[in-house]
Amino acid sequence: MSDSLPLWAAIPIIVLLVLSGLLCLIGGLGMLRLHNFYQRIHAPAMISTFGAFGCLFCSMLFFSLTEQRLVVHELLIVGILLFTAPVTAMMLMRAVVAGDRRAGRPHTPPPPASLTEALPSAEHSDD
Amino acid sequence: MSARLLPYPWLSLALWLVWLLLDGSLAVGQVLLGAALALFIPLASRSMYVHGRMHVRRFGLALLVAVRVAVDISLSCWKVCRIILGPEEARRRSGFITIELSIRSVYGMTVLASIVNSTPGTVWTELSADNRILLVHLLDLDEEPAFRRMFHERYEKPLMEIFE
Repeated sequence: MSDSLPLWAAIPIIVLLVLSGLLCLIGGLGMLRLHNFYQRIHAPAMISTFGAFGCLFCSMLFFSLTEQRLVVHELLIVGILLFTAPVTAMMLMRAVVAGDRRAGRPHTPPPPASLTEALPSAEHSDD
Repeated sequence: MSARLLPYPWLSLALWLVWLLLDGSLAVGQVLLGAALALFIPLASRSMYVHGRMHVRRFGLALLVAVRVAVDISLSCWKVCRIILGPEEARRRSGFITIELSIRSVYGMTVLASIVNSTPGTVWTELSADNRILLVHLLDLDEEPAFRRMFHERYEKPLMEIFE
């Protein structure tokens, strides 16, 4: 099966797979090396973007070439990751910030203040 | 007539494509079943779209923003990798900043939040009650001026042009 994969395609696929694998590994290492939750939440953002997209792109290329037909359902995973990963990050972040505030831990940011009447010039003139 | 049958044509098209991609075939039965679902689901979930129809202007600009996002995500990946593997003091510079938003469109803000959260090193945390002040967590506070510039110039301004 793999002998039907031309060399010009094999080399970029391998390079991209190794790169995205390395990125995922570094993202995992981040869990160990970063100090608190707020920092650790940044590591999976790498995995869910370029780590995952690299692997999925390789998968599309490899199976499209070896099976002689267009294999594109990986695009669905890319799309669904694009929609869900940011929401997950925001919800986790808000949950932890709310918990830290209630527990009164230090270094927790206060809720951002509204500026309804403070800055009339900020009434946008864009539309 | 078509507006009542197809209240959200782009949503219907997306649902149809998702169905065909899930199945991975273009058999007549699947195409018809997908089309039926694409007609039915937007009609059934109509009352959920409380913010009204999304108006996208300037598709070219939207494409440009997408390219910028891809470039910035790869640059940020590289920076976050260096912070994770780098010396200890690089991991002691994280913190929260507040940013003043001028974008008003709910859909624009959603896209902006997704961009910020997809970029490694920045997480959109909380909005003030009037949706004007945003709390963002940065992994590297040294990036703050660069992030502010990028946020306003590269993303917020074009998104306002696209959605408002």
